[in-house]
Amino acid sequence: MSKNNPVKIEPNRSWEENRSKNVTFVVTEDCQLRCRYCYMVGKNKAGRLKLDIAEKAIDYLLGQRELVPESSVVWDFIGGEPFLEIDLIDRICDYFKIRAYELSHPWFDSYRFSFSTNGLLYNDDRVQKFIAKNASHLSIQITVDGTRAKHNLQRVYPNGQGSYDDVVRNIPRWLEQFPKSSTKVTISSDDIPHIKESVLHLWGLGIKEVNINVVFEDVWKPGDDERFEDQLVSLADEIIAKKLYETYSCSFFSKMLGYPYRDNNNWCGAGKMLAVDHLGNFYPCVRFLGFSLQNRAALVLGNCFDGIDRNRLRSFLTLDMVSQSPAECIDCDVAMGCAWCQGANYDCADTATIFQRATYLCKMHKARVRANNYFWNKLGRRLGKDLRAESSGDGPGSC
Amino acid sequence: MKNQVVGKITEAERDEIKRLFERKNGLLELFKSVHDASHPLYDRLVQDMGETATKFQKWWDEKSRLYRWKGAAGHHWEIDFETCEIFLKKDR
Amino acid sequence: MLKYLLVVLSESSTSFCHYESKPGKGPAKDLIPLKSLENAVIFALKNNLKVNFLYPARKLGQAYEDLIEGVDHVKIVPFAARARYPEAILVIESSDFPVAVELRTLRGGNIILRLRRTDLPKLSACLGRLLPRAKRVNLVLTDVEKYGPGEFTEYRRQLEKVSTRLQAMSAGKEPPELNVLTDRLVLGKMNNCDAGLSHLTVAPNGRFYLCPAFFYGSPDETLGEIRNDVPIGNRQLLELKYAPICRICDAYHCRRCVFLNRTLTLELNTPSYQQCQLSHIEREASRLYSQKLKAAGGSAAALVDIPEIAYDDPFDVVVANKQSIAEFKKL
Repeated sequence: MSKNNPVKIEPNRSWEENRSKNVTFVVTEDCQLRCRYCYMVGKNKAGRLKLDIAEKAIDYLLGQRELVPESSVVWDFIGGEPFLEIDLIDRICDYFKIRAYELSHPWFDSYRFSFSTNGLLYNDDRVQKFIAKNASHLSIQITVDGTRAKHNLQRVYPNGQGSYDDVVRNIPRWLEQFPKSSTKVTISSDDIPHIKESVLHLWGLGIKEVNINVVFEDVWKPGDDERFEDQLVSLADEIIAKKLYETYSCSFFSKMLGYPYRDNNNWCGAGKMLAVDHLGNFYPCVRFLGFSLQNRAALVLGNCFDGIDRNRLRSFLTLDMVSQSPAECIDCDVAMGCAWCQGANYDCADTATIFQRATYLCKMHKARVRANNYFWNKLGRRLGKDLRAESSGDGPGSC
Repeated sequence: MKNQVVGKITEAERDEIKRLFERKNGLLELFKSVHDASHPLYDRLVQDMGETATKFQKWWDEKSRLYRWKGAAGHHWEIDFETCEIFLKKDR
Repeated sequence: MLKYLLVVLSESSTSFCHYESKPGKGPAKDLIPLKSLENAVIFALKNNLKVNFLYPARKLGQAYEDLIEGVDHVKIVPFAARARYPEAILVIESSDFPVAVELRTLRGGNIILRLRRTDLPKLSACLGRLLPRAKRVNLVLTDVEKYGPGEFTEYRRQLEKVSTRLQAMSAGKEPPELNVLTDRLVLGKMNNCDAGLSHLTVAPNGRFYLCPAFFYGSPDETLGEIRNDVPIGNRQLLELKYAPICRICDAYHCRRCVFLNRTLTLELNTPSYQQCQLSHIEREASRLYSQKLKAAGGSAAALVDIPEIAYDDPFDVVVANKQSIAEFKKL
């Protein structure tokens, strides 16, 4: 931590951010858990990726430099629970490494294998063997959803029992192997009362980076924004009082949050990333697979046999903020940082389009902005400097 | 002593060592799957590992001489790829 | 604002655009019900709309013709029905191109030529026979989704030949219009199909659609029964302003066909690379034709300038450089 930047509260940038191609393999639709907020309904043992499909997908992407010109690649493995298929994953990773080396592909010099896991199998011998084999190229995120109470609200076994204890048992080893690891926390309406305590709890476990986000779906009840704001303000007070900002990060707080829009870029990377299902179909992201959608059919871009239909990519690659946002959003004084999910937009839209932005989060975003302003202003007074000066431009808005 | 910033390199130099670092790690990890001498890639891989390790070490030797970074017994240099800063870190 | 209504009188009515209609099922079996036609005519009268009626080859009953004559309209008919409707816009299929003696019946009206991809090498020859006998020819390429580099090259070549013929015809008299070559010469802004914005379609099932192509290609995407209020979900996606690729484009003559958009890219507002490349081949052909005309002098000096550009697909421009919010707000 540089002495010129004592405030570390913002999460680190992800590896090769905006320069890497993210390819997600959905290796299985099976999972030990039945998390209540999981977008993947209908878990089963049948939807399982086969090695030859993965190999075809890898070969296709390695051979498409014009379509896929990125200098780096992140192979992302999800499920269901990806570690249920660690043997398959090991063979897929070996296949990529060997092929990329054979072809002298630039990706051999710049790749990562990334995992979002429930953590239950982290100590499994085969998982540990895989980790040892690929240690310098791994990014493993174990989801600990906050305090035991909060985690067990949502992340349960099929019999309804919470999974917290079984997951947290594996955290010390995970942090020893990957000290800079982060976890992901999801906030829905029922989780709001647990936010502050959960962030502090996770930091207390040694997880220094907490990526915490509200869900994109329309789940919010009247008053949720006020309760949310109260939680964040209370968390801000604790962070400042105990100088936790010097060591820990929480994605709720950002210097760049709450300004008017400065550019016209799309928020979401759907289409620039790819997801591959067990049949070898390509999708703009995992949120466009059939099991992720409630109201719409899956949106397929192509497959590993016939390739990607470049026409189906055109809308994703030209989608900008203004073409999908209502005028109120374009002109909003605190728009920056207001997030959306292209898959959720598509699922919730009035017609089958990605050009209609869901705005269920509006009040929650504004609540976050107010709490964020409170944090930076209060901390700035404490430290005797305008912490947002270099990012201010016209200055953050008020709401 | 705590980790100490002893120098800073240019972005071009950073990119150079970053690529070598990544390649070195990639070759080492590939070797775990291609360790059998009968594998078609074995010879090429072994040669590549040697060459890359040499280039990697050469970079550190050259830059440390050029910039005259402070060193110490029982310590080594590490780079922060984000900031291009060179740190002096205690060996484990 | 709606300006006209398209009424497809039969499932086997001629197509006048990119889509394919259906072969006839037999007398009266695929006609629009008379009551639906009446509702469509009443809708047009109430909303100040002119009507384009799409005819089948066979005769309609007198009751149908009487209803049709009750509203300001244009008839679009297949070439085979030309004798019955001498003032109509004729649709000619390249796959069934008329022989010379049949073409002699043409009398300087409007013609739509629907050209199959496999007939592309015959384009210049077909137009060479039609243009002298028409006031205007609208060329429609029917299977755009199958076009690739070979077809683009051939199309470019064919348009060059056509422009030479057209220039030769312009000596001493008003030359005929050819949409893909001459429209761009006089346009200073987009002049698109505007399905859903300036017109709606009543299909043979008596329901509204954005255009006939949706009835044939995606019949579930109906806008509902004929009624005063016709809600179109995400209607703004039909407008130029909400089309990131099209709003920076100056191939003003392009139809911006929303059915092709939807079919090929899954979005109403996003054109396929085939559509963009074809429109830019036409744009370039227009530009070169304009240069030839201006060099020859006369009234050609009044033609708009078409600047030379380095791309043939505005997608590449958009991806490299997104339009700013300020630029969007000016639209």
